[in-house]
Amino acid sequence: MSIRAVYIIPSEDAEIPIFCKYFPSVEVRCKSRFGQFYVKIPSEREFVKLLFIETGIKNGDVFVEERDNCEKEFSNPAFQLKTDFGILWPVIKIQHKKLIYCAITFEENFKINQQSGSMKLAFMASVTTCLEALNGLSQHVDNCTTSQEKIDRVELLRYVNCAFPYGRPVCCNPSVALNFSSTSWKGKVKQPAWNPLQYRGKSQVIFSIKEEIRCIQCNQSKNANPIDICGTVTCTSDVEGVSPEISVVLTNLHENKCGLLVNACVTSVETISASSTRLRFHPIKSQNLCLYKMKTVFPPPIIATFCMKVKEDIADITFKLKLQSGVRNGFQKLEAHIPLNCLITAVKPKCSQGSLTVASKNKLIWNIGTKLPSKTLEATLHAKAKLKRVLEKSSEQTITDSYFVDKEKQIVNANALSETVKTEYATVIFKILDYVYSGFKIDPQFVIVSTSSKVNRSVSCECYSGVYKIWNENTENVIDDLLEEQFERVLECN
Amino acid sequence: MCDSEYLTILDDITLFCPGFVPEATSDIHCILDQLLKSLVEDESSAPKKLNLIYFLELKSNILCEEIGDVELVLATLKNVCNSSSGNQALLGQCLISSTTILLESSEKFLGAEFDRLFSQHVNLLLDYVNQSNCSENVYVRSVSADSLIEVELCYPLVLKPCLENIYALTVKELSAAHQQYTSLLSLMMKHSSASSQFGSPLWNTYPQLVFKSKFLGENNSAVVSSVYSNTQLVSFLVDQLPFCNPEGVVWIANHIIGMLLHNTELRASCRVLKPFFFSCVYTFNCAIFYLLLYLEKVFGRELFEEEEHNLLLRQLLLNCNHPSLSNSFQLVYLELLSDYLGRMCHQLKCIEDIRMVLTNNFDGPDIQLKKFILFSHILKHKNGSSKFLLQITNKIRREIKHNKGFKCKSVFIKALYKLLSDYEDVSHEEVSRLVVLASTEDISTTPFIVHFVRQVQTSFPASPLPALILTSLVNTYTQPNEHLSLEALSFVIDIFQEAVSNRCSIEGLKSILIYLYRHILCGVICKSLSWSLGHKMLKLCYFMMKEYNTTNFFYELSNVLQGFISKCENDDVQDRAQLYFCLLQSLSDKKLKAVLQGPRQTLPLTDDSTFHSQFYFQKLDKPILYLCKENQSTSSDETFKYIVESEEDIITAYKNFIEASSSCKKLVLKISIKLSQEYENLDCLEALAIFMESSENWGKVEPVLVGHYKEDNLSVHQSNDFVYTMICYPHYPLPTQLKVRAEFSLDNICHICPLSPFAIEFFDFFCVLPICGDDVKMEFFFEDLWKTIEDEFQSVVLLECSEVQARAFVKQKFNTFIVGENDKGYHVGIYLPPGNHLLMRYYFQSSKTIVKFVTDYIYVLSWTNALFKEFA
Repeated sequence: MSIRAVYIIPSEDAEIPIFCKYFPSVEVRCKSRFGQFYVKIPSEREFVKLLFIETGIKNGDVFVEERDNCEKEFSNPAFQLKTDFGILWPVIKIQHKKLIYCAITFEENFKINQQSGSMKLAFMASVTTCLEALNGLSQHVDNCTTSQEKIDRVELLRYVNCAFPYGRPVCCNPSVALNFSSTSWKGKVKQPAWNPLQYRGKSQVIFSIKEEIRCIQCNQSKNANPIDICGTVTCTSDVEGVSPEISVVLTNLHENKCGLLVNACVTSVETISASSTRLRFHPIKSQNLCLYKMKTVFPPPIIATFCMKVKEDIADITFKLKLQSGVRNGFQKLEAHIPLNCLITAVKPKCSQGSLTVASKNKLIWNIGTKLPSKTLEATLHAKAKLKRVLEKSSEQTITDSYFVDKEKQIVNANALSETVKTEYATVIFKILDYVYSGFKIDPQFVIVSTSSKVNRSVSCECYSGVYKIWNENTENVIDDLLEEQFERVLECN
Repeated sequence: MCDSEYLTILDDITLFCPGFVPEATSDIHCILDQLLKSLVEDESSAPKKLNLIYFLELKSNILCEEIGDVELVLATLKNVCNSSSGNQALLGQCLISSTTILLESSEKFLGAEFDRLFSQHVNLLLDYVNQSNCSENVYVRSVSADSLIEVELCYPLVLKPCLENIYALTVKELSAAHQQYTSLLSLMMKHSSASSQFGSPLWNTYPQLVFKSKFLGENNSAVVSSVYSNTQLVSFLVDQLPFCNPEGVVWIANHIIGMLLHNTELRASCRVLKPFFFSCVYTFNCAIFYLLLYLEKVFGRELFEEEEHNLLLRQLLLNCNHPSLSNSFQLVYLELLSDYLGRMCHQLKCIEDIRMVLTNNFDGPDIQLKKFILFSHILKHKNGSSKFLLQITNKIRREIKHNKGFKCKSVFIKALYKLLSDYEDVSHEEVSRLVVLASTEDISTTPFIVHFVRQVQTSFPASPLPALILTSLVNTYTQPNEHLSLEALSFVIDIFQEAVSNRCSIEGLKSILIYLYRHILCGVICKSLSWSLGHKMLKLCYFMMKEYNTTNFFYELSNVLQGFISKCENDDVQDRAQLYFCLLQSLSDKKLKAVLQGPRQTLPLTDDSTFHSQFYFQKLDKPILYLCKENQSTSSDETFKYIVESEEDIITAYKNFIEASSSCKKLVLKISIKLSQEYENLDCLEALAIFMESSENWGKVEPVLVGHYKEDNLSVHQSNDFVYTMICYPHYPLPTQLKVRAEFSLDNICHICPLSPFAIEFFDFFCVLPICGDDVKMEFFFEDLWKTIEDEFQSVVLLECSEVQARAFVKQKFNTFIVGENDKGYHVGIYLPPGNHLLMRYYFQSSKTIVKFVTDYIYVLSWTNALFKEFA
């Protein structure tokens, strides 16, 4: 359960990591254990190159035999990197906000001459431990940096040495790990490791609910359009006491706790009623307390239709959206994005409200505003856009072939744009503050802190769109209605 | 230290210690001294010191060249510890770095000095750990415990004598450092409970470790034995879990499970972990969830009721499919689910439960593939499951056109391949249909499909699927498509190439050629073909000419080649097309194949071996025949007639004769041909011809045309009937190695087989002088010739042997070539085709013989010297 090396790499155009830390004592153990089968860690540059090819960040649009081979064992998020010294395995990768967090682990349970990749991930404790360590690292980078250029290498080293000294995760929550070095203790009560620095002051507990709605709307689907409603509850707390405990009641969790996952700090999950659950947990400065997922099928909060037809070089676009009654009609942001695989040279919009702009020459953004008309709860866009074909130079052509590329342009331009311009879907992006669509709720009155009766409690919430795709009416049905039916049939047959 | 290491050090110094500028030196000791000096300077700030320590740790392997350097570094870090007791972070870092440097140095320096340093350092760490409940140094004690864990991991059981002490300290410790104390204790306990299970120490050597007496328990062995028999310790460890971070929980619980598992006495205590299970089962922390599954795996029967199994599965399914969890976590949960269901899939109820995993339209390609593998695994041997899995594959296929990257394509072919590997009843027609759809919806899927087809061919040689797919693709892409771009055309040609390489039907070939002629080589498209695309298409034509009977599609192929010649504007492409067209027009199909070499194949030796091909040359890898030299070369048929008129004229006339005679220029060797042992059972080789290749500088060799070569002849007749003449036309009499190949027909199929190289040695050139006359005349001729070439190249060799031996040697080696003999010696005249000579005079004496020899070709001297090597 040790990490040999950890890297942070920008997800695009990087040649070397922006941060890298090796653990020499783990490396010595690894070398001693595997002897002639030991695989050395390549240089940083080489590592990034191999990782990018393996994960498709480089050569992501072409076939790479080493990566795409049918027989290759699929073990993501653990990767095998074929280096000059042998196969490096397992290399764990997660991606978070344009940064790749990556680690090479040392799996003590490997047999010395075990073939790389032959051991299942399910038998490797190091993989799950490493994933949590990388997750903690990504949170730390999130908390203390605003951009990848400003990453403080020495500060990160300090975090790494607190969170996983010797490559062994001891505390991956950034707020706890960094406090640990300044911990002091006085008293006769056992101080938990999750609360190394006692807070002195007025207790306060802040809950933040962020609900994400994902939806795919396709008019041709026989069944209801797929929708996912899920949320994350974050708790930020400053609570007095050596070993405090907070109790909170979650309400309107339809079907009770079935869709509930909690942080490891939660000590008990207790059902109070059909739709209420009480959680007791150890407060940590800042943490994701729980994740919920609504299992009840909800109708989409915004129902939309999108239709785009291209005749010659003119695209005729119609976009309609309607807010479900009961949904808060007040948005921080409400936009519809229509991406096109060609250049937009001119656009003639006619929208019932808001404005239409062209972004990056190939995307129409309809900014609808903050509120829909109260009576109709609807907005409509009709637009005509003049299009021009984008020509990508064939990778096969060389500079000396430019003459032929020009010829190709002539031929392709002769083809009707209507055949080449395809926009399968548009997306709706929205954010509503102080509102959750599912009705999920935390009542501040029911937040109890074991060590203090006077506590400032507050709950904030917001609701935003995740993947919210509206398929073009002219595109084939993308939702597989029959899959579940077919599965039932297999079970029935047997 | 090499230059590159030095530069790396300088780079890293700049990065870690911006203010630190080492004096201009490449001496590693100097740099180390400066670093250490800077570290102990009072005015250095704590962040600067931290940076220097990070740097020391990173580069210690290079900076510490001797054990003395390690000692110096450790002593300096200890000094820093002593002088900055208020700064916990700095102190902690000193301990981490010094432990790391010490353990890393174990690779280079083992021995008494290392042992001494190791003892000192471990005792220092124990000193800190021993100060339990000290409120001033919680972090430092925690780091010390962590460092001891690393020491114990490197050298299992090395801390065993301190077990009692560590246990007592852990019980006593109340600060947040107790997690590390408990972690250390759990590791030591696990190592103690089953020592053989936990591997060997670093480099298989334990250092001599001397503990201070205060760290050793009063009655160590007794306590340890009581620990083994006492489940209270396990309970103690379990009780500590609520006070630990999730990472601490994972570490300690993992060791508890290990202890219970490897110690039969403790195994019964596994129930103490049940509350731990209930407190963690709702978690999304995958390290903890992994542990729960591990617990279920090893103690499932003893510990879990059906209800708990179901709860675990339900939560696992939720984790697999929770939209708030990132892909990486979901993938790991799916892997864990796969393993869990692999053990539990006999329960149909479980399988029904996994329905919830299915209904997610938001999954990315990676998750879809993982789910596919999961379903393929658990639905194995169930009726109708291949149909269901094909439907999932179709779902993946549909996403190809919406996702531009490689992932969907890669996942699509991997899913198809997995399906074919796991299920025999997969509908090939449906697979083919999906592949064709994927290709037509996104032509850039072609390389993936080509790979898939090849992989299926390799793994399932008898499967008709590759042919079915390729035929369908050819049928699809030979339909006119007015929107085809040149980039797409390149992929289409790849598909055609793959089809043609896989025994395409004649109809298929014709339709490809007709398509190329009518739709690609027409007007403007042909003119705009790039060089590479033009050659790609011509390569296709070449392949057809080489591998197929061109008479079947002669007209179509001619049209295509003519299309290139008349319409393509690229000169290079045009030239190549012209060449192919000429070959096609002027050569018969058989000759065309002879010109364009065939692929390599091995002749199967089984009796039932059949060749279906009418068009191929078969190339054998192993030599079917071998050649043997029968005897010395034969002399020229033509000879110069010696007529005494004028001595001067005779030599000139002789030279003119040699110059004019074609017979004198050739080297004729007798060879016999025999079948290799491996192929002795072959009946008959028809139209056998042996071709020899020499280097261009050496000359030419004529092929040996054998004709029919039958085994019965071989057995009846002896060598003479199968001795063949090999005629060479060398430029000079120089030894060489000839490359040899045999061509023959077997079962009406032409075979090509490379044979072992054939050596022509210097001795093989020896021929009798091409002159006819009596002995006297020959003697005169010899003298005249000697005089003529004497001025060119001559040499002398002294043979250190008796006269008898020397005479025997000459008789044995040169008997045929002796042209004169007297009491004093022999005259030997040798003709070396194509027109050189070697003349030798032997002067015998009792204990030595002098050999004078002359030649008209300088290199003959060195080869001749080699002949007398045995007398050297």
